[in-house]
Order: sequence, then C-alpha cells, then structure tokens
Amino acid sequence: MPDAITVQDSQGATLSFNGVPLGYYVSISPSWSVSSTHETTSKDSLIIGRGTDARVVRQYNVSSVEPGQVVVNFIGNYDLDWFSIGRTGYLEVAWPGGYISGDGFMTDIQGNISAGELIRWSVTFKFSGYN
Amino acid sequence: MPTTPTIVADSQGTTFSFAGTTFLAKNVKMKQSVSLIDSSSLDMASGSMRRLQAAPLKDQQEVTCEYYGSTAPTIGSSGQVVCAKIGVSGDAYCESFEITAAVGELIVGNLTLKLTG
Repeated sequence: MPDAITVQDSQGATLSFNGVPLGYYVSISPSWSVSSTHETTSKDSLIIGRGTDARVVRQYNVSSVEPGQVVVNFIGNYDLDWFSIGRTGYLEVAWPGGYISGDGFMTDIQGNISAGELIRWSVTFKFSGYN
Repeated sequence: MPTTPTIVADSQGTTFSFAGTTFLAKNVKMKQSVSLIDSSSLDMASGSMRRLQAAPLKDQQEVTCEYYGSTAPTIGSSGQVVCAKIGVSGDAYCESFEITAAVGELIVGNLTLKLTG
C-alpha cells in the first residue's frame, strides 16, 4: 500500500506591513503577469496565404514583465488605519514553501458589508520593482 | 429512606392548532437553530480547530406536526400556531405538508411551519 501523499496546506501563512504583523487575513493571492507579448506572423504566411492558413506566432516580451502584486482578503474591521489608497510601504508575505517581499503601494481597497455575513475587506498591494 | 421519584412531564394532553384549525396530532416537534460562520484565518496553525462564531441572524423557529387525517393547509398561508405544552405560540407560515395513505394504515399528514418572529 503506497504512503498517503500530504500536500502543503495554507495554514501558518504570515503577513506584515512595515514590520508590523497583521491578523485576520483569510486569503493571500500573490500574482505575476507579463503585460504584453509580441505577435508576429510566421515567415511562411505570405507563401501559405491569408485567412486561416496564416499562422500567428506569439513571443514572450521579456522587457515588459510587470512587478508582482498581492491581494489580501481580511475579515472584520481589523485595523482600518492600515488601509489607505496609495499608501507606500514594505510588505512581507510568507506561506508554507514560499516567500515574497518588497516595497510597493496599495492600489485597490474593496469592502463588502452584507446582511447576515461577516464584514470583509480586500486590499491590493503592488510591488514597485520586480521580485 | 425512600426518596420521592422525579416525575418527568409526559406528552399527553398536548393540543396543536394552526390558523384556527385544530389537528389530531400524534407528534409535534419544535426546532430552533443558528448557523455558525467560519472565521478561521491563515495565521492559525495547521491542525488547530476551526474558529466559529454564531451568525448575526438566527434561523427561523421550525415547528412540524404529524397528524391523523387528510387535512390539507394552504401552502404559503399564515396564521397563529399554538402548542402550549411545548411553549410554541406565534405567527407562522405553512412551508410544506404531505399526506400519506398506506396499505393497512391510517391516513397521516405531516405539516412544516416556520415562525415569522
């Protein structure tokens, strides 16, 4: 009988802003993206013809890699002083098997106050440089 | 020295009525519940118990009655429900009912009410 495989879970993730540990965060979503790619037709397209016979080649544009961002979802009105559009600071995020940190600023704040539900906040922090 | 035994109330002498109709009840149940909201957060260590808290809004009190006969209440109708023996009294909506006829059995109905307040 093979041993059961245990996949890492999310518990124990930590979050701090300007060195101050935060709490009541229920999800942390770091993400990275490429803002644009080059698209060129293959060299054979003029020979094959136009329409569905033409082949478009998508090429990764290394010069336009965007810095990462982190979206954090909180429950409750935990320390609303921390949330401020455009606020700059140093964010550190650690989760089992991963870590990201850097200077950046808050670009989006969204609250959700719904009948019968917990109060929820979502904050987007964008890093200033590549990390 | 013999002690006085504790007498627990039995169910006999229970009457049940809804919207002015008295039902020949064989079983009356009252249920009150509240949902629990999970407020667990990521900083809790793996293996710890979920953190729960009562939802800010309670669930409606539910009353069910199993009765003899084929009385069919109007679905969605409202009225006073009274079953004094188990402390039920208030305005309620008829959420559902069912009537069962089975070989060799008496016809029985089953009524579900939700109290409004």
